[in-house]
Amino acid sequence: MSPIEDFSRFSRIIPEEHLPALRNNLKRIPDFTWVIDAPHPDIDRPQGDVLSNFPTVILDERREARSREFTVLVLNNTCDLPDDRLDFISAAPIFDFNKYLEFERERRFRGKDTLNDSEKRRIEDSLQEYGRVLRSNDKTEILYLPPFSEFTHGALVLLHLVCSVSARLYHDALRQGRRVASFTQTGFYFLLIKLTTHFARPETSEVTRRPGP
Amino acid sequence: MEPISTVITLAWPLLFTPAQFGNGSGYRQSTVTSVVYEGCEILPLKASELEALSIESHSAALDWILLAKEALPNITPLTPEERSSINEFFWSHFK
Repeated sequence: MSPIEDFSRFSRIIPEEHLPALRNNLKRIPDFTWVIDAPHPDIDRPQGDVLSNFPTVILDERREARSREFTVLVLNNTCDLPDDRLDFISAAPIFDFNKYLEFERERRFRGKDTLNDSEKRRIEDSLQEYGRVLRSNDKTEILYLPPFSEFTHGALVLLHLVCSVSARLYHDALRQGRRVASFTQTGFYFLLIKLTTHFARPETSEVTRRPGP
Repeated sequence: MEPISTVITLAWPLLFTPAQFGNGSGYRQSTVTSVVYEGCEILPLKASELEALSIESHSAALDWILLAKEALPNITPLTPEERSSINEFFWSHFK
């Protein structure tokens, strides 16, 4: 029995009744079509919801705050999202998968007008492999989402570019109907898996911390 | 009364928790064996309860790491080149 078959031990962290569906969906990877769906009809503020045209900000290397609207994924716990619970929410920007891959193609071929066919093929193959790795969710900082809404070729959530935004702007977005998608039940567990991998994976054994007082 | 595992799930260190588990409303309400949730607040625990929760929540966090490792066995951080590419793409939206 492979490790993924033995799911009973995960009943401590995931309700037992959800384990069979999660196990089956994890076996479908790199198919992630089970992860995300239309906005939840009954719960208007679940963790992981995707909002369109949401203001974000990032501090650049000159200490200048740069702000722009992006589609974002809300990272806060569902319990923290009701009114008067938080003053700020954490949002991660989302980008179109194909647009990024096109950007990367242009970047890889930039200034290489004299390549022969073989060299072009090697770069193209490398690019396709990079795209496959991203689509397989095999990069810790990047959450790949399957096609939804305007992202007809899938989307990339940049988990290393999370920012804090006033909760008032979040509430405005809800009132203006800017919810785009919600995670499914098993998709939500996958979101937690991805966040665990990004933020809480074991440190290398080379990191030895002081024992403390 | 709910099992301690449910409490642990809600208490694991990152606080990225499966909040939808509960009552169908999406927000976990009150009534847990040793922790009472009122509007998702976690109230103080007795020392013995805290100790049990500490051991169990540590274990639960390890379970999440184990599950993540099994679900995505080949995952790696972006390489410097990939990181540079993604960041350049991000900044291109500000021009």
